[in-house]
Amino acid sequence: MKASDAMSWTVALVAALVLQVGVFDQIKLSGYINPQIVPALFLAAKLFLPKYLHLLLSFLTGLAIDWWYNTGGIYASALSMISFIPLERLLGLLVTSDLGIIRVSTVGFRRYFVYISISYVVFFAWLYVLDSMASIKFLVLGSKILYSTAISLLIVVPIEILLTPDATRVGKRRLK
Amino acid sequence: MNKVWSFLIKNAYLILFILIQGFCLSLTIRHNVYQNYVWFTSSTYAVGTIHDRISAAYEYLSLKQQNQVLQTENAVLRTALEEFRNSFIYESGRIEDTLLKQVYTYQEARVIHSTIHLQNNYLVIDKGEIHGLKPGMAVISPIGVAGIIKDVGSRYSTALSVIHSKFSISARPANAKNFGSLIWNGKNYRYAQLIDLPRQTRIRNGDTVVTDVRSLIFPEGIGVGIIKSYRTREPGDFIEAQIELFTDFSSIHQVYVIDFIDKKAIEDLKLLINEGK
Repeated sequence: MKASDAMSWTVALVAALVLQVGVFDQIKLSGYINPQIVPALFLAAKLFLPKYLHLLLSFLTGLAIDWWYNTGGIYASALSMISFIPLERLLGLLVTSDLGIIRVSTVGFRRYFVYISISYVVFFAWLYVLDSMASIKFLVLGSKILYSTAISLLIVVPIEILLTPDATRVGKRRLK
Repeated sequence: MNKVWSFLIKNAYLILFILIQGFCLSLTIRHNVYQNYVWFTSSTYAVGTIHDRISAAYEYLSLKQQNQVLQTENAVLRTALEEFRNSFIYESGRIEDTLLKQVYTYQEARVIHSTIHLQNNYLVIDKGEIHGLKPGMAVISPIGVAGIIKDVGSRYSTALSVIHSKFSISARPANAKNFGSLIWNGKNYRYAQLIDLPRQTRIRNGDTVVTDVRSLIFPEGIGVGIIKSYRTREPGDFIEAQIELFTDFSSIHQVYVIDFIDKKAIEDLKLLINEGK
């Protein structure tokens, strides 16, 4: 773990939390679609932080969000869920990322996008299942997951590309 | 202990995750009214379902015992019914020879072997001499006539079943007074024949056939079967009917053995009459 990476990731997490509660919480499309940017930070740090620390941090951060939203332990559960499921291994990111932060610049745009999309689907699926406790209809649940994932990615991915000056070049190189 | 310890260490990450999820779930349920309601209604339903299944399994396992209890109870009830019937008949003054005394006794038994595909089919039952069985006793299933005790061992007995070529008892249509002989022609184990019914007997397809007391084996009115067809036998003095038997001998299991207490006395009287001739 590089100190500079740790510092920049911590700053980014604090900024994401402030943005989340200050700005994105105010966005409620169709009454329930609310973009989430904090999961992106934890997804980026999957290989960078030790797994125990990652799990505990995601749990504590989720608990803080739950405290803010007054939602019990729903966010803590969903964040620790994406921390626990080794999606990065399933997508083969472990061998290419060289234990750094998972970004467009380190794994390429396509892999980054697939990884973050699937992770967000898992995150929202667990979040809404806990929220509705299985009483919701399957189609409604599916549409909530897909819309929430899409709106979150519409915010997270452009930010990631903006913060990666050579993203286009890296993405093209990786795709080759 | 070492194995437990090494298991915990090996799976510490998973255990930590499960603990976290459990904690989150409990927070969610305790904190949100809706989740709390859903959780407790679901868990109540689940626990109720599990209890139902366990209870059903226990009931299934104890079926044999319950069946035995019911059989014994049935035998007692049949005996009590017989006593009641006799006292009732006496009070109404229709039959005098019962003297308020029980005429038949019932004893439950189990068929442990039976055949249906032979010309002479037998039942083997799990009661014998030590249980008071004697040759000539009647055997009925819970729904109809089954056979007659032939050989008695100390613990087991064999019985001629209705589907035996030598089986023959008196029987009659339930709503007629004329009687005939119930026999089996050896063709189909589901059908017996009622022969030698007088021509004037009122008979219809679908009528129930019951035992007649003249056989001195079966009590009056035990079900035999249903008339499926009948014809007048040439030269035309008697009717012969095809009877679908109530008792299915391919699945017979429980039976009752009936002892006609006054049988010997009546037979002795008949003997005296014959000697007097």
